[in-house]
Amino acid sequence: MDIRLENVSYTYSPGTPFAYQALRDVSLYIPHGRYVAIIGHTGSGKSTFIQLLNGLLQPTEGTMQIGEFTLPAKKKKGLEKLRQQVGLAFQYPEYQLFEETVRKDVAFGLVNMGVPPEMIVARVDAALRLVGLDPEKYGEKSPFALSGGQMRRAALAGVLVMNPKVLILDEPTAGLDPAGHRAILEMIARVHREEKRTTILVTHSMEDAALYADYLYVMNQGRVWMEGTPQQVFQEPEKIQQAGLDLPEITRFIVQFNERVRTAGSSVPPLPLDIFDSEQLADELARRFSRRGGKRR
Amino acid sequence: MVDLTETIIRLNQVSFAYEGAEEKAVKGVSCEVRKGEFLSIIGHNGSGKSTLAKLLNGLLLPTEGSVEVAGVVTSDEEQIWQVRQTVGMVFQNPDNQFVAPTVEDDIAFGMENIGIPPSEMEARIIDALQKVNMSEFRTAEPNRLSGGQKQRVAIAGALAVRPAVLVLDEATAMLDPRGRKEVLEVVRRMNLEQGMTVIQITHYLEETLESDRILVMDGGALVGEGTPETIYQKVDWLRKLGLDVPFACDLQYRLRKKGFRFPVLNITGEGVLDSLWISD
Repeated sequence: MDIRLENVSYTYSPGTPFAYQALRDVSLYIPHGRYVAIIGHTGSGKSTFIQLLNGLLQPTEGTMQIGEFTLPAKKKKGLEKLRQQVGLAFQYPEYQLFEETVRKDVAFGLVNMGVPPEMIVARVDAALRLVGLDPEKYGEKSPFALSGGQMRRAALAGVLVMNPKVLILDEPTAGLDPAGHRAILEMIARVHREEKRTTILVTHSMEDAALYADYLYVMNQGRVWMEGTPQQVFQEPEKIQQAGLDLPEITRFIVQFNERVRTAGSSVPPLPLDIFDSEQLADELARRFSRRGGKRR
Repeated sequence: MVDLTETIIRLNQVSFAYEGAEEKAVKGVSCEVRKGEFLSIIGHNGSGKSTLAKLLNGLLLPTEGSVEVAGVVTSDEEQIWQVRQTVGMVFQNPDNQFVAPTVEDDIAFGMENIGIPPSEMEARIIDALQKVNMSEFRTAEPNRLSGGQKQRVAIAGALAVRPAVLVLDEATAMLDPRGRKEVLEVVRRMNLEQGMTVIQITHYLEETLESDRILVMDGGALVGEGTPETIYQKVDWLRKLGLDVPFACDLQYRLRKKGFRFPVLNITGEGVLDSLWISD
């Protein structure tokens, strides 16, 4: 499901003294199957953007094409269908868990949609497996008996079970410890590979954006401030800082490394800026310093 | 340089179980917090960090053992306000911490609670807002502020009470990178310039690098204690606990496996570069 926005703006409370333009003249194209990260500080327009994508909001100016859906739409009916195909997992999605059992909670959307009961169980269990929760072990438990990370997984299963073509995740790791953080992002990356849908990750973390996404949109003041592959975007540190963001730490290290090479007139070759994995960086460093003796044993 | 020898909080074999819970959330923790130190507490979700924080100012009382704050035991009901005055707390969600329609009223609320005379409040509000760089927002509505600004107002509210210790319980968790930086700069400055003791609980390991000490919690118990340089040496152990190490420490860990030698662990990228170049 391709996504195309043409000159889309969104204004809250238009025509009143409280009018606030949260999104300004955004044009972009996301081909189906891409893993996209949306980065930007609070108030940059990220939340408005994702609410437009699943039809919770409709553009006040411009048009959007999401698969077969054109927005603004005249009929409400189409929006419901759009919402089934564009799954949105809000921040802290576990706050919305409410059923007696994990299975019932994950099934909620399907039941609402009128999916026949005999089909529901299989889909629910498949969704639970997809997020790494064994349905036999956790299916009949109360969602509130799960750990924080497991609750987050159960809530994401509730979105995935609808089998959306586009999956939007608003800071899916907020509040999780480092292991839970990594586990959730690895799970999302695996689901993206296996299910071949479009994944849109909203994040504050430049590291996560660089490590997981194919393509980044940096939002600032309601506009798309920068876009491109991680290496393209991180070529311009000043522009990133103007958006109130920082380079990923690994990129900052590489920039400093290259700066030292330059100022020292060293013969060590500079490091490429497209390394986002620490092991790869360590390999590159080992290659550079072993030839020169350096400090290796 | 503050010498960190005076104890301000002492925990003696502290355990705590929530009502009806089978397992204790905090198990037999003994430790001392020194006056003027910047202390970080790390641990995975559910490791007991937040419970420990609430035990530090008597919001929770130990089911076993005792917590002493500046010589006062927190279970002493008659002196609980003295404990609360000594230890200020700022929590995770900036939206749940406001009770009043304006920033200044909100800051006044905390002072009313401990009986600061109204004649003194004005000066304290001005002072507290200045410390967190929020003076111009004195009459603003809290709900119109950004997350980082809200948390700085929450800190100002705590500071107006003039606590000797400020506890930040994941106070930056819901903020964006800019907001996190704003909050950390403020508390770091309070620590360095005013000698205020800071105890922060965080999942952002990068935020612990400037701490004097780090405490590591697991399963309700205190399982590790040391400077960032010593704690972040133990990469495998931390990962087993559901934690991780900051970027520079991870990089050195990987480089060491490839035969590099680092006489000491550098906790910043700059430090790693220095060692690479010095030996070059």
